[in-house]
Amino acid sequence: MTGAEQFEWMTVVRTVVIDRYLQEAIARGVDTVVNLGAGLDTRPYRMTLPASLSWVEVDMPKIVALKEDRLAGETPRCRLARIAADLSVGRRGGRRSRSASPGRGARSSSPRAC
Amino acid sequence: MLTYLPLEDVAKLADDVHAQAAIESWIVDFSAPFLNRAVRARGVKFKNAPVRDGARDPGRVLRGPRLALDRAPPPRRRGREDRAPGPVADLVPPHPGAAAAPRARGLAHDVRLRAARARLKPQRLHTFNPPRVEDVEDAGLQSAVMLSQCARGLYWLQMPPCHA
Repeated sequence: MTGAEQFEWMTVVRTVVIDRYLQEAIARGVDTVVNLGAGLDTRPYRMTLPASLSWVEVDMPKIVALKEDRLAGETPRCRLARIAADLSVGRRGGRRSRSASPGRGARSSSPRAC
Repeated sequence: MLTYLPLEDVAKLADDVHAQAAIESWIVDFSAPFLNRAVRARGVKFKNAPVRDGARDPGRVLRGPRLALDRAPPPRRRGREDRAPGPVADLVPPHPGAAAAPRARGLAHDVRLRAARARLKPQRLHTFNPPRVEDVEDAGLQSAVMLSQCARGLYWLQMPPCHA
């Protein structure tokens, strides 16, 4: 098996394992998921999730804009919000600059987050 | 993000997140320094996201900014990788040579990080049950789990299937 094939498998397994972790957490009662550095992750769209779940994605503004554009016609399965922010200390001047993109549904401050 | 951000930034971020009492669980997705080095060696470059060596023990981010005090070691000879933290730690016994290597702790080069560490309050941590190869019923997925760990450079010496 080539290195590229190994990398592909690694990605697949990583995805499956994290999906299961999330399902376990949600089943346990977690009602908010915060994904830091979400990239082009589409779990809010493809996973079976309770509609009441709040999902917050954080990533660089360009990534958020790209994602909003590409997924404009899709509907997430839970309440989804995206926050454009640079999480690196050097660029945020002590506090990270941010702008919120509400996506669909409300954002909530939950007592149980993951 | 552990791969893309400097350790100081990861530590500060961990400090911020730990300050939020509502966050009860973390899922940390990381790649081994071995894999990061392999990516760089192949000339792969991500705009605005340089691949770094990362933490020596990325699992320690669960315990807050002390992560930054445990810096990544220089490249090691084959067979000298540390035993991996987290979900794969229990899969295979550690390599005899690696097991004897003490982990350098307390390498506090940054006074600011010392202060951040002092501010860290105890936090209840919840960890998920780590997946074990033997617990995965599907044979294909079981092989993939093993292969994934091999590809991450964690147990590649102890797991012949990844070289088959």
